[in-house]
Amino acid sequence: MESGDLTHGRGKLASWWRENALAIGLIFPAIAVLTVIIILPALNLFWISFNNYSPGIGSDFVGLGNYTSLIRDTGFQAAALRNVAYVVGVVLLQLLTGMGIALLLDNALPLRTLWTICLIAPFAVSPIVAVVSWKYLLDPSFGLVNYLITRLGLPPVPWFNGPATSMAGVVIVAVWKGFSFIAIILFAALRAIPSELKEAARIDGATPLQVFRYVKFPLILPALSIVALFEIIHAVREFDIIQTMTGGGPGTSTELFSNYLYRQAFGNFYFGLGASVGWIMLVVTVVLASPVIWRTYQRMFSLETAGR
Amino acid sequence: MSAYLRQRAVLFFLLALAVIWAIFPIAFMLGSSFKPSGMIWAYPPAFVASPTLDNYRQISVLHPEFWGNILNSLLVTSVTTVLTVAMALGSAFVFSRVRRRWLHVPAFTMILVRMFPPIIIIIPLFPVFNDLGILDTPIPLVLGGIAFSVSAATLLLKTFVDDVPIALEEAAMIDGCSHLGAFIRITVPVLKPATAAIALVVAIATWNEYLFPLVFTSADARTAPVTIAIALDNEDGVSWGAVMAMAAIHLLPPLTLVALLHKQLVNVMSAGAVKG
Amino acid sequence: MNRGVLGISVAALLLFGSQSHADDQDLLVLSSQLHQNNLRAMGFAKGGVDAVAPFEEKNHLKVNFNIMTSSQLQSALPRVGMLSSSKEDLIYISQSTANPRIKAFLAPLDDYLAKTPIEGFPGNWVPAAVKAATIDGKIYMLPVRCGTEILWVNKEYMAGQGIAGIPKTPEELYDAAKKGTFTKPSGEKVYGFSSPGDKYDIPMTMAIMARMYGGDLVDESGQVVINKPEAVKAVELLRRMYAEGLMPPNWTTVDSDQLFRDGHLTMEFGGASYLSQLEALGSAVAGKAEPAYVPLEKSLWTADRQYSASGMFYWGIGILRGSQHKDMAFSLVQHVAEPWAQSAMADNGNSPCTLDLLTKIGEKDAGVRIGTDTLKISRPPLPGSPRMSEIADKVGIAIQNIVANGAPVQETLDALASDLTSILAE
Repeated sequence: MESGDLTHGRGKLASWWRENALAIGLIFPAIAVLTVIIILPALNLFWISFNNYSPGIGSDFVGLGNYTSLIRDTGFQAAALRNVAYVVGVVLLQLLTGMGIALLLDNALPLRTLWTICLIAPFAVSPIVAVVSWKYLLDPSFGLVNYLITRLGLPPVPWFNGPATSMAGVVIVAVWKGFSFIAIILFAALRAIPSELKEAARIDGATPLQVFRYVKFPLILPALSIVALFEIIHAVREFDIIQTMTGGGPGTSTELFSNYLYRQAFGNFYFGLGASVGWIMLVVTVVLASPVIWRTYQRMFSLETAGR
Repeated sequence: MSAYLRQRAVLFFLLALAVIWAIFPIAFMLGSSFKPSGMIWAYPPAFVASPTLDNYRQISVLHPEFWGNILNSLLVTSVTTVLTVAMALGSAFVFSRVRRRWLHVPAFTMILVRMFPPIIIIIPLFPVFNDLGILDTPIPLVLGGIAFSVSAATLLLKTFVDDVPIALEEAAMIDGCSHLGAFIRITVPVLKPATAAIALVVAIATWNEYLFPLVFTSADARTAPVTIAIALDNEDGVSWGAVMAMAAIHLLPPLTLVALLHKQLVNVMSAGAVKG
Repeated sequence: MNRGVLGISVAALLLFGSQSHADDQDLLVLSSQLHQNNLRAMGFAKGGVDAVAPFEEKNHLKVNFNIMTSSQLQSALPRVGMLSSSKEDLIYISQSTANPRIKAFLAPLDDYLAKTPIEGFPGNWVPAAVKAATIDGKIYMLPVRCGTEILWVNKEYMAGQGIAGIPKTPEELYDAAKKGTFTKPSGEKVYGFSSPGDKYDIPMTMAIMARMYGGDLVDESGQVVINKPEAVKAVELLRRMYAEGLMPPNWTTVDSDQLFRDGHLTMEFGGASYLSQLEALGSAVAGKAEPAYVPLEKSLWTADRQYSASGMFYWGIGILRGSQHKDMAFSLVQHVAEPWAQSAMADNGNSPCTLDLLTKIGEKDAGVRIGTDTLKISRPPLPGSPRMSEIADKVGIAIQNIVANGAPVQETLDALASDLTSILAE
């Protein structure tokens, strides 16, 4: 692939083009779509965020006005804090369920294929369909979950009657939708551990808990941290489940960044304000994801890869 | 021995719990979609009650547009998936096989835009799509679908291309193939399982997409999730039977594919996470 | 990779893209499901007469619908309305969207009306709706669905729970709700009372509740009175009923009309024209639902009126500024205004805005009769303001916070009142 020497500039350009045309041609479609659909609109949004833009009323430049009014808005503060709590809560629960299930699957089981399929099924379900199903199950008065709870002699849970039970409903759906992805990856990571390692530990008299703590866990930690990061990014931008399940309510008690953005931009027509929420989300996500961005970037061109 | 048995018993109990947690909401909804409409909110709730296809017939009465929406979903999903995978294969080839300084720019772009939340593009893009006259066509959905899948697919595929020894391609090039030709003839077939699984992940994401069709389509190009969400919030009374029947129909294709491709899915997703 | 597959999919995309540009003549209407059902005899109206079919036949085109929920419709208006060329031609505007801002999104109807007048317009139309459609002296929409919310009771449950009669005062409403909350032997719960509780509908619920005590959200002079004693009493009643479990716990997300229809409620506030739905196939309350006036505090009773003003709702149909078929769109508006189409739609469950038809339906439909009586003294929940959606949003959040989240009543309403005052002053 390396070129020979060329003497004059024009030839250099031509030869540069000849050498790189294939690469350019192959990555051009993807980069073009990313530029047109994501990067340019994001920059345009950055501009909108400095304007007090409301269709039907007008638009004027307000500098950082949208950002300062956001920071002072208790509704936004609450949504931001709630979003942080939501990320921590949902991702922890997803990791616990996902890891637990991966550990279960990593045993000698009859019909393991069937169980695997069952356990990764929620991965295929759309958020909207998940909401349909869980809204039906969790109905406080006529739903199956409360029926079973009362049959056990316990008081029914008043789902969706206040911040706590509404958020609980949303978290249940989010965890149910998300744990499969984690289970898939951790299950594969567990299977990749050489069985001699586990056997050796067991022969040395380690309890299953010790085997997990000292053998399995350290080895799946890299996969675990990457998955956790992706789930965090996903939880920061959560929209569909909350919008269709609680609409952000009661009050604004289940509202996260995206729902706040949607309400301000498409409910109250403050496009400029919505744009600044979008940029805050973007910055938060990129900061949170910076380790994985950097790691992926470095690995992309590291020498030990690429079949050489 | 009894300790072993006890351990197995606990294991199976936990497994049963996990399987119920994962599959019951799906199974209960599928079952309820066959209940007569009067039985859906009956109390105590029944698991199955005199099964009937009425709810499925009701779709045509209450939400006749749903069938067209499902076809739109199929079209958008298949086109998006094929184009995304084709672009990702091309880009993965470049990022894996070609070493040039300038490639750092597109590579970093790809990694970075993966973090952008989809909701931020709808405010600026709506008037642009309108000026182009492509609102309410599948084109914005396909473009949006590609944009938010192609970088993940590229990065994932690249890790698999990396695993294929370049020597194989070089051997083919000695036989007179171009490098790209060698890649297509030698490497791409080796990548089939990985490509299938990545295609499945892209397809599921597109199939389930809600925000873009909500904003960018109206009557003609609308996809199924939007119709289901609207039916769930229908001012003329929510017909839960029809909603659950629509949800069941929407659920089956991705569920079937996941069941068929679960092995590749597990391998590929984990490889992506481990190698990053 | 398979270049063939790629080629085919690109071709399919292009083909589909071109196909989806339906016939150039066709009209596209942005509406909620219920408008389509009324116009096309779908859903509950299945078996009725399609009011649009003759128009399509006459003009050799199709009228297509883009269905959204009411709140999505509200957010779609500026999005679609700001386009200089839009695919959508017509849009339904409700009392929660009709405000001075719509003149930026809709084409005024005056020129068309001057050329081809609509018979009986505006004299025969509900005045409040015509007034709302008129901005700066120009008419922006034709009101097509008008009415008030009334009280619906389940006679069977009332009798079974020993409730003496239909409640006439807020106190009686509370007592009836308390008695009407019970558990059937099967374990099935019946709630005494509900009214739409999602954020979009709360201004209506709040207006009905406050007007029972002679209060309001914003009074006729434009003064914000949502924190005055009358409105406070109304919110306290709502909160009390909710806290005591007389209302469904998921009040903020559940469809109360559906609960009533499924026999899970003893009473609800609902549209005056619901009778046909309540009697429709699949309804658990067929033959058991009875319409009634909204209660009024006894001290406000007069010799000729013992019921409250409730809340008025209306929907109008307007032509989008970016429509490419404005003339044809106006023809459809005109078609819909014709007496024949009006009564076909009414048969499909629509509550018309034409006064003669309202009277005529009231002769056989008790709900509509009560609704029409109420209409004479009723008003929409909120006055028109360019920031109306924001006002409605704030009201919805505050009331949900008080009722469901336990926020303090007076303090929250005071804060809400000062917010609303400053928005309305702008």
